[in-house]
Amino acid sequence: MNWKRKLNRELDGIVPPYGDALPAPARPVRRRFGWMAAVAAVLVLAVVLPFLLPIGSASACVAVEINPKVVFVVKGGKVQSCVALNEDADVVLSYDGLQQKLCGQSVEEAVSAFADTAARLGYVDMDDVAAARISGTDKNKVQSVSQALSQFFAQKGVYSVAVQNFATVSEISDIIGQNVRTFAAQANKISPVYSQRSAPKDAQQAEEYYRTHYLFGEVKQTVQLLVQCFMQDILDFADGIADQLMQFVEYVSDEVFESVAHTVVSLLQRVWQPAEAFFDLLELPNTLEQFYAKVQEFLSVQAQIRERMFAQAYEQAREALSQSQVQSFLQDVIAQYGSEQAYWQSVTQQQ
Amino acid sequence: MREQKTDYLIRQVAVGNMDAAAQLYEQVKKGVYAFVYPYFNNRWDTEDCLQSAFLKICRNAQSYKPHTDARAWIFQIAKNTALDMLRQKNREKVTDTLPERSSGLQDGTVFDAMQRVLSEEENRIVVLHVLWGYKHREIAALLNCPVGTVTSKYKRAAEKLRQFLKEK
Repeated sequence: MNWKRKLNRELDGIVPPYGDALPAPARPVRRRFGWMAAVAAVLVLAVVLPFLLPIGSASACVAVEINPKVVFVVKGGKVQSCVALNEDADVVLSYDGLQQKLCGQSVEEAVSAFADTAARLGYVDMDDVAAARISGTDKNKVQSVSQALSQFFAQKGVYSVAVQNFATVSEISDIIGQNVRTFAAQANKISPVYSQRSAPKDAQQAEEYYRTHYLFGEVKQTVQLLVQCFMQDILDFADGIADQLMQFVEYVSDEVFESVAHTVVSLLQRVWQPAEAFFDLLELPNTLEQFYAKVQEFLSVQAQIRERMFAQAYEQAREALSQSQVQSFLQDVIAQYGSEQAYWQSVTQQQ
Repeated sequence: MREQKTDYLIRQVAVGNMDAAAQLYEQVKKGVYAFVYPYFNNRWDTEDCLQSAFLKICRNAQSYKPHTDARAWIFQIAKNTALDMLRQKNREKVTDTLPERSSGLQDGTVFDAMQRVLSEEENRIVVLHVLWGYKHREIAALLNCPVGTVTSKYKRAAEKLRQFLKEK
């Protein structure tokens, strides 16, 4: 265990807890849920359900507007495909083949599975409040998806606010970022990976994009994070480099990173085998196919890293919430914010 | 120490939510304790100071300006409380001849090592970074010194602690 974690644990034992340290408060107070540290909530999930849109062959779109953001294309009540709308959704959908697994499920099942994986990868703070917005033209479906999501979180012992938003087609198009009918018609042809869709389509530009955005951006930051996580393990067999590792974690220029990255990844590989993938990620792509493959590989590795980092928080035992606890909490939300929509505004502004 | 949650909890305490007070205490206790300990070098006075500081935080929660730096606000109260207690103790010293207490810390722990091997400034930087969650540039602003100084002192402190704990 590294010294920082040890320090935290020691202080947990030394510092008296609340009950021992402090006298009972003099002021009478109105009891409210301690869980309403809602402003710090992380998962903000909006499911867009234009179910009654007559779109060509009766497909519809379910856009999950969060960080992560994803769109489900729904046909006959089942998810036909899911498309990421931002990079965090790319990471979630790349975990354990989730993107494929969600196809064929009902949208209620798919949204719950997506939220579960987002929680596993640390996009939901399980000790805080999960905020969700479900938008659609079909009121019944909006309600059923909202209920399914609330039940999912309640079973996990997580308080949630699933805001129901009965939206117009144009509002839904705004959320997705393009005309929803066009999007649904082309969903099978476009890449479900946001990072690929937003990248250049020319091999040379893709190489430069990979260099700036990935190699000296995401990959570098991830390697720094891994070194920090495994610092003690690395030091156990590589004495005398603590200063250099600390410097590497705090800040490393692109030039220095380029010169030391292979050495650092070799060290990481000794303590964490999946780090081997970074050898490939340190090389620039020569073709668009290589670019797409490297991006996909990076997303997979990111998912593995996040799963490891947040495993303890995700797996911690939490008692399922009862219906009355959930209702009481929601009443508090409305009492404090005025409406669930106002709560949503507050949370999304914070982000 | 999560900044947004701390801000929210202080605002809740201001309206009388004692659940929030309990949560706030749990959120800040380690940072405040570790920060004020070097003023007293013993657990008993530190615990007294922690209690006094937290009561002041609760009493003054209404004067906290929402969505500003909650940690800095708490930091200032903790510091002032420690200084007030020290001044009080110094006045009492003239007439009070009680023997000094031992630190009450266990040998070989990281916290004990911090008191033994780190300078006052190194100790403070470690506490602010590791327990309060401040970044080096934020610490530099708080302590009014260059970022490079904070980074190098932190590095040196970390190395000293590792060395000391290895030898133990």
